[in-house]
Order: sequence, then structure tokens, then C-alpha cells
Amino acid sequence: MGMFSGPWTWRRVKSFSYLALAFNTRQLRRLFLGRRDDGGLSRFLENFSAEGMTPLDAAQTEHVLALTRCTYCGLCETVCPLPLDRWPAFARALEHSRHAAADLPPSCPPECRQCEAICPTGVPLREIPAFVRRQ
Amino acid sequence: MSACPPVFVLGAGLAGTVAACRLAARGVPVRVIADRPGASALHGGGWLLGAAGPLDAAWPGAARHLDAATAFARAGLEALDLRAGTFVLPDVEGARRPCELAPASHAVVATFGPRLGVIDLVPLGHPFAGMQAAGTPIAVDWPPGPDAFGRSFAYVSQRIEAEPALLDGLLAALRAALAGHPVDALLLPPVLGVLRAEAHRRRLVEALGVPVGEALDVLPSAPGLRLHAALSAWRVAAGVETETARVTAIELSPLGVRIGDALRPASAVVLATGRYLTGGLSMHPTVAEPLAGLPLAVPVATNPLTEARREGPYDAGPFATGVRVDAAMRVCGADGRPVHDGLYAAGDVVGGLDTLTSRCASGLALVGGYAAAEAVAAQEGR
Repeated sequence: MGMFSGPWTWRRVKSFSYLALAFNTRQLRRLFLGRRDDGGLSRFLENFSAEGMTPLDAAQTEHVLALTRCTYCGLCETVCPLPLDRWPAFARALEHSRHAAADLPPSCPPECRQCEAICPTGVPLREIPAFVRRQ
Repeated sequence: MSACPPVFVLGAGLAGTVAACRLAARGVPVRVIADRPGASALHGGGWLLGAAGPLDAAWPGAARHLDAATAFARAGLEALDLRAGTFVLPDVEGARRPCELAPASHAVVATFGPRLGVIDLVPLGHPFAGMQAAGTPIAVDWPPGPDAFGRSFAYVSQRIEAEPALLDGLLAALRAALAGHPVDALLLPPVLGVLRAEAHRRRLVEALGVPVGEALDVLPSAPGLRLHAALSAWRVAAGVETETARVTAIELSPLGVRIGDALRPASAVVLATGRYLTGGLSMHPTVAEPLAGLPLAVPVATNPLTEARREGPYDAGPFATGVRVDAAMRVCGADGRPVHDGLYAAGDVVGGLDTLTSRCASGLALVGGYAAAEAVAAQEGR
């Protein structure tokens, strides 16, 4: 148990007391609130929902998994006729979701699905902007 | 609906195409079902077969099929103009890769040194320094247009395929750049087109009077696009129909493939769906074969942090897993007996060989596709 070995400095004693306090508070909340205790979810949402970090439902989880299948092979780029700065967001853009949130450019015709047709892992590329905006 | 159901080949990559075209050549009615390109669209251009090493170790029958399979594939993939030999070819990042088959456009450059002119296409904005170290860099102001910056070589290849007139511009730019540089050979990035690349290269050779070759590519790869296009063209030429659809399951009794709500009866099914990349094996929540839940040959560690990595040569780890096959490429259960008389597998979905470290995925796909087709044809009595 590496957690309890080592010198017992004052800082360490203090940290362990905070841990014990938090643990006991949690147990007491569970005892008295029962099912009404959501394990801190409401406090988490209060802090982070403004930044868009909200829990995903099953369909959204499926969607994120589909998007993360991107292997950065870049084949979508080779078939996209649009100039570089007007690409529809492609899967790498998940890392730059601010850019992905921009609409598909007007010159990206809805019937042109070449990027999706050539993607070896089947990422739903053209749905990324709408997905990012929804979140 | 015809009385005799066709053989379904699932997957249109290298293994699926070789299997389907061989079946068509043997007179077996066959349909390919695929909804996207195989991992062969990511091929770098150099072919390593590895029959003497990893491939033969993983599947002792491989060498027996190898010559027939490569001869058959080379005849079908005429667009790639494959040459056999022992090559060490540079890729655009400067790595030198050993190859046993290479398209003519790659195989032509055998000499590295100061007399090799390495073309740097300046407007693209990515001077691959590693490739240029193979010879003397020569800056060329091509392709034209403000949209070129940042584009990949594969994109330029697609454009020159669509607009062959661009080749005149490249030729003029090369002539201008070569004025003060005496060179013995030219090394280009792979930008010469898709199916017309070899014709374009010959035109440059005639016009410039020196051997012209292309480097192997990194992703997104022009040779990969060429292979993808050549496979499609081969299936068309062989009279194999390719259906764009997503198979959701393989039913075993009776044998058939499920597409949406429809169940299509099959006299045999060749599973050529690839490994993780193309969905032949699913990763969530665990590693599994998603279409029929087939047993996997090499167990995958559920927690790679706690289970020590086995240092097997090429037969361990998550990239060696896949379905188990017998000598006739029939899918086997855990007991080593075929799951169904009509269910075959070929290519990367077959377990037992780590195709990443052994680097002979194309060898496995060629040989496996060919062998599976031979076995199916024998079963069909052709």
C-alpha cells in the first residue's frame, strides 16, 4: 500500500483529513438522501455545462464513436474539390471544433458525398458541423 | 431471382477483389458487396510479400499459392504495371522501404546520389526534406493556381487524372527547372495521376530523355488511390457486379447475408472485410467479429497494461487476431472444424499474422483471396 508509506509530514496529514472528511460527508449524504443524491452530477453540470461538457445519450455516444473512427488518412482531402480553407469540416476537425461549428460552405453541394464515399472507416463527415453545433 | 444463389464476397479491397475476379474467371456467379474502399486504398506503393518469412510461417500453404496468386493479380492489375524484383525504394519522407513488387513508376529509380534530381513542387508548400536527401533538390513552380498550397500529392494526382492538360504545364516547368541541372534520373513525388500515371510517366521520359520515377507515398497515398481505382476497374473488366450496401449480419442456416431487412441467400460467402480499420473486427465494447460473432484465432489482451506484451515474431497481439481458417480458407470454430461448409475468409480479417510488423498484408490478401476462390470453385464443382 504505497498510499500509506513514506514520511508523515503535516501536509500529508492535512490531505488525508480532507479525504476522510469528504468520504464521510458522502456516506452521510447517501444515508439521509438515498436516491435523491445524484453523486455530484448536478454540481458537475452547474460548473461545466456552460462550457458544453454535458453527458451524451446513447445515440450521441454512437455518433462520437463514429467520428473517432477517423484515422487521419486524409483520403477525404484528396477527393474534395473545394479549396483548402473552404473544406467541410472533416473528422480531424473534432480537435478544432470551433472551426467545425461553422456551416458547410455554400459551394459544398449536398449531393456531393465523395469524402464520405472514400472514407475507409465510414466516418459521417458531413454531419460533423451540425453535431458540434448541437453540443 | 435465379434458382442458384450467387457467391457473395464481402469487401472490395485487395483480398475481396482477387477472390471475386478469380471466381468469375472460374465461371462461378459472384457478387461483391462493399460500402467503402478497403485498407488497400491506403497502400503506399511498394509490395512486400514475405512468403519466405512471416507469411509462410503464419500459413504454411501460402508459398504453394503465391506464384499463382501474384501472377493472377498482376494480370488483373495491369494498370499498376507491377514489376517483380528486390527493390529498396524511397518514400516521400525519406524512409527506404524494401519491396518485392513495385509499379514501374516506382521501380525505375534505383540510384541515389547527387546525379538524381529530386523534384520539389514549391506551390504545395511541403518540401519533404527526407526525400530530397536522396539526391539534388530541384525547385519546380507547379502546380499553378492559388488553391495548391497545403494540398497532398494524392490530390494533385486526382486532378491530373481528371485534367491531363495539366501535364503540359508540368513538362514545361520541369524543362525550365532542369536547364542548369545535369541529372541522370528524376525522382518526382507521386503526382502523375491515378490510372493514367504510367502513361503520363512514359510521356515525361520521352520528352525529357532521362528516367523518371516517383517516390512511394505516405498518407493520403496516391499509389493507394491507384490501387483502389485499379481494383474497381478489374472487377468491372472481369464482369463482377459490385453492390454498394452495408451488410449487417451473416446468417448460417441457411447461409445468407443480411442487408437491412432483406436476407439474401448465398451458396457461399467469402469474408474479406479487413481488420479494425474497415470494420472487419469491431473494437467496442470488446474485440469481436461483428457479422456472425465468429471465434477469433489470437486472444486479445483485455488490459494491455497489466498483461505483458508477448514478443512473438508475428503471431501475437491485437494486430494478429482475426478469424481462424483451415487450409481451404474455411472459417473454423474454436474446435478447429469449419463453422459452415460455405463460409470462407481472406485478407486481413484472417488471424494469425501481425500484418503491421510483418508488413505483408498485401501478400496475405493476394494469396488468401486466390486460395479462397479456388476452394469455393472446387466446392461449386467448377
